[in-house]
Amino acid sequence: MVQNSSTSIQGRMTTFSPVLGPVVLTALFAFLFFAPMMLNAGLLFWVGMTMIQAIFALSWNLLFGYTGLASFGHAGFYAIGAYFTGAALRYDFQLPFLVVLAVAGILGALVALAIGVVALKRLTGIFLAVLTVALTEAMAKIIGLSKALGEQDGLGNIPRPIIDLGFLDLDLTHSHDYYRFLLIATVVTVAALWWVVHSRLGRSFRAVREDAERARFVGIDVARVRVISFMISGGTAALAGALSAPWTRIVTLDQVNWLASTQPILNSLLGGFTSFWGPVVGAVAYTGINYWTRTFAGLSEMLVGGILVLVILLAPTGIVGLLGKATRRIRGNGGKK
Amino acid sequence: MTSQAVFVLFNGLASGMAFFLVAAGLTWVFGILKILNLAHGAFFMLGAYIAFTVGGAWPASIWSFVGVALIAAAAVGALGYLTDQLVLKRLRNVDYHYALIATFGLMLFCEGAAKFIWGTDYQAVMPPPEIDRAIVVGGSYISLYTLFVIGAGIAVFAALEMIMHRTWAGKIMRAVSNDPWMAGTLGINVPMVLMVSVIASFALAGFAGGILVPNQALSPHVGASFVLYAFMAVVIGGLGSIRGTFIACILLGLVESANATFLSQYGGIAIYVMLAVFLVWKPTGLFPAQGAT
Amino acid sequence: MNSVPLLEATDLRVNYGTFEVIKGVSLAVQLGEALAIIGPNGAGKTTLFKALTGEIGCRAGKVVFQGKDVTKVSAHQRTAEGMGRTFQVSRVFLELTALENVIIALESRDRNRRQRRGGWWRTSPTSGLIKEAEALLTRLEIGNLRDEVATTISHGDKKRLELALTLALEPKVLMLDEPTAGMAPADRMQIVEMIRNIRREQGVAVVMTEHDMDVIFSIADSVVVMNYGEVIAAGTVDEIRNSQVVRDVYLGKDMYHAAD
Repeated sequence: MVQNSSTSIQGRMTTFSPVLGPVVLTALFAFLFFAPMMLNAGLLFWVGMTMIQAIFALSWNLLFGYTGLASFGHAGFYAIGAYFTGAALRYDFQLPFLVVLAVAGILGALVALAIGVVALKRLTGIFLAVLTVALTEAMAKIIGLSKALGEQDGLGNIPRPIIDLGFLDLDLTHSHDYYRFLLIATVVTVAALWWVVHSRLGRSFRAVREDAERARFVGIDVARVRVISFMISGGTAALAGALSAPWTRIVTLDQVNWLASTQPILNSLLGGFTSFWGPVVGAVAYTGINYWTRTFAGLSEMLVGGILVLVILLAPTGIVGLLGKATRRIRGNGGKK
Repeated sequence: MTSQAVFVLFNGLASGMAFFLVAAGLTWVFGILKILNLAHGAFFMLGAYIAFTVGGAWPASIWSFVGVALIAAAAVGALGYLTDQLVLKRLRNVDYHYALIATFGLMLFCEGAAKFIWGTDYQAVMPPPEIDRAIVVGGSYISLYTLFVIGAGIAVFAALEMIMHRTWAGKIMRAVSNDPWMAGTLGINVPMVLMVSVIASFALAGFAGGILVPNQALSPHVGASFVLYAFMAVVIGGLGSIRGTFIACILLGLVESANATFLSQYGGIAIYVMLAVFLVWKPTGLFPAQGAT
Repeated sequence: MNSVPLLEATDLRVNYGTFEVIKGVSLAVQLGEALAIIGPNGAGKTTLFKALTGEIGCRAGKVVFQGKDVTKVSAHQRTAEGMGRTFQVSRVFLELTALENVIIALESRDRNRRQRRGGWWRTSPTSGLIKEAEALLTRLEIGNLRDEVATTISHGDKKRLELALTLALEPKVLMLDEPTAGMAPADRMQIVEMIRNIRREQGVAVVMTEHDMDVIFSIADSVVVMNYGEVIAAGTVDEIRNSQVVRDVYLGKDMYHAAD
C-alpha cells in the first residue's frame, strides 16, 4: 500500500512482452479500423468516445503517473479544446481543420503554462488540486455567461469538417469518415505520448516524480520540468476535447464541471497509472461498465465508485498491474519484485 | 442603497454559514487525519435525503425540524463509523493522492446509491412554518430561515471552539493533530481519537444536510456545489484550522453575495478570483495549521 | 595554493524564522582541497551545508563558486555548474534500477551542457551513455546491481549509488553530508577508500560534514569547527587535532559526541 512498493518501475516494463505488445496493438487497430462495418451507429459512437477518453486519460496520467502531480481540473483543458473547435466549426473561422486542432492544443498548453508559471512553483499537492478544481469551475461560470458559447445550453449543431489537402478534399461529414480520422488522430497522439514518456524528457519527469529533491541535485530544473509536463498534458487534453466536438456535435457545460475532471482520473486508476497503457485499458473498462449498466440510474456510479475504492485499497496498480502480477506468477518469478 | 447593503450582508452571512456547516466537518477531519475527504459533500447530500425521508417535505414545527436534522446527523455519523472501518482506516499513512482518489470513489458510490434509492428527480423541502416568513430589516426583506441558518452556523462554530479549546477532549484532539506519534507515546489512544473525529465529522455533515435542505433543489448532486465552496474555505482558512475556515466562509459568503447583487451579469465569478488571489498571495492560508503542507 | 578559491563563503547568515542558526560563517575551499566541517550536534553543520548547496537561502553573506557569485543561484544550477551533493540519509530514485538512476544523472549533465547524443527522436539512451553508466557502477563496486530496483538494495550500496549519481555529473567539488552515517565500520572504511581514490584520480575537491574522526582524519586536508552557528576554530587536520578549544567543545560536559 505504500507508494514505493506498489508502483515499481518493473510493473511498467513487464506488462507487455516485446512479442505480445505489437500483436495486441495490431489486432486492436484492425478491429477499430473495421468497426464501422461491424457495429451499429450507437455502438460506434461509444467506441469513438472511448478513444477520446483514452487520450484524455493518457494526458492526465502523463502528469500524475510520470511527473507526480495531480490535476483535479483537467476537464478545463478538455473544454478549451472542445469549445474552441466547436466555435471554429460552427461559426466557420475559415481555418483548415488541422490548424484548428493544432490551435486548440496550443491554447491548452498556453493556459497550462500560465497556471504553471504562477502556481506550480509553490503549489503542489492539495493546493494544486483545489486550485485546478476552482479554475475549471470559474471557466464553466464564464462559459455559462457567454452568448456565443451557448450559455447554459451548450454549443449545438456543430458541423463535421472537410479537410482540404490541396490535391484532394477529405470529406469527414459522414460519421464513418470522421470516425476513421479520429482513429488515425488517436494513433498519432498516443504514439507521440509514448515517445514523450520514453524519451530523455520522460526520464526527467520520472526523476522529479520519484524524488524532486534528488532530481534538483542532479541538476534537473524541477519547476521547469513540471511546467513542461503540465503543458504537454494540458495541450493533449485540449486536443482530446477538440477531437470530441465534431464527434458528439454538441459541446455542453457538462464537459466542464469538476465531475468531468474526474473521468481521466478514474480511467487511469482503474487501468493502472504505473503503466503507459493503463489509462487506455481503464477507458475501455469504464465504457464497458457504463454501457452495460446504462439503463439503471445510479448503478454505474456505484459500480465505478466501488471499484475505484477497491482498486485503491487492494490493487493500486490497477488492471494492468494485476495482469502484470499474474503473468509474472505464470512465468514463475512471481516472488521476485 | 442601505437596504441593498443589508440584503447583501444577511444573504452573504447566510451563505457563509451554510458553507461553514459543510466545511466544519471537512476541516476537522483534515486537521486530524490529514485527509481531504472528497466524499464529504456526498455524505452531506445523504443527510439531506435522510432528513427528507424522515421528516417529509413539510416539517411540522421548528422543533421537529431540528430533531430530524439530529436524526440525520446520527444516521450519517453511523455511516461514518462504517466508512472509517471499511475505507478511511486503511488510508492512514498512504500517499495523499490515494486518499483523495479513494474518497472520490466513495463520493461517486454515494451519489450512485442516492440515485438508486431516491431517483434522479428533484425534491423540495419547506422550512418549518415558524420561520417560513420574512421580516423587514433596514428596508430589506430577510427571511427568518436565513437568520436561522446564520444562527445555526454560529452555534456550531461556538460549540467546536468550546470543545477544541476548553475541554479535555479538545486538548487530546489538538495533541493528536499536532503529532500523533508523540500523542501515542503519552498514552493517548490515537486510533480511538481518529475514529471519533471521523464519526463527528460525518455527523456534522449529516446535521448540515438536515438544516440546509429547505430552499434547495434536492438531487443526488446537491453536495457537489456546497462541498466545492467548503474546499475553498478550508484552503483559504489554512487547512485544518476551524477558526480560519469560519472566517474564510464568511468572506466567501459576502463576496458571493455582493457579486450576485452588484455584478449579477458576472454572477459566481468573484469567489474564484478571491481564491486565486489567496492561493498565490497566501498559499498557506489565513491560519496555517501545523503539519499541513 | 591557488589564489582564487574554488568555493568561498563570506559572512554567511541563515535564519529559521527569527532564530539565527548560522551567525556569520566564512570559509574557503581551494581547488582539489578536502575540507571537513565538524562540530557537535546542532552546531549548524547541516544548515551551513544546505546554504552552500542552495537548498536553503541565506539572509546575508555571499557564496562564491569558481569566481562567480552564486548566492542567489538555484540549487539545480549550482549542481549544473559543478557542485555534486549527497544527503545524510542517502537519496536515490527508489523505484528505478541502479542503471536508470545513473543514466538520469548522466542525461541531466548532458542537458545542462547543451549536449545531445543521437537524434532527438530516439527514446532509449545511446549505447555510449549506457557504457558510461555501467563503468561508473563498476567503479563504485556495485556493477552487479545494475538491474536491481533501488528500493531493494542495501543501505551501504545506496550510499554508493548516490555517490555514482553525483560523480556522473563530473563535479568540481563533492559536497558530502555525513558520507558514512549509519554504516558498519568495515563499510565505512571502504567508502573512505573510495573517496580517497576519487580525489586522487580526478583531483576533485571535497566538502564534508562528519562525526567519525577516523573518517575525517583519513580524508580531510583541513577542518572547520563549528559551535552554536559560528566557526570556533579552523586549520589543518593536525592543528585541529591538537587544539585545546576543540577538545573543550567536544569533551565539555554540555556537549556530546554522537555518531548518529
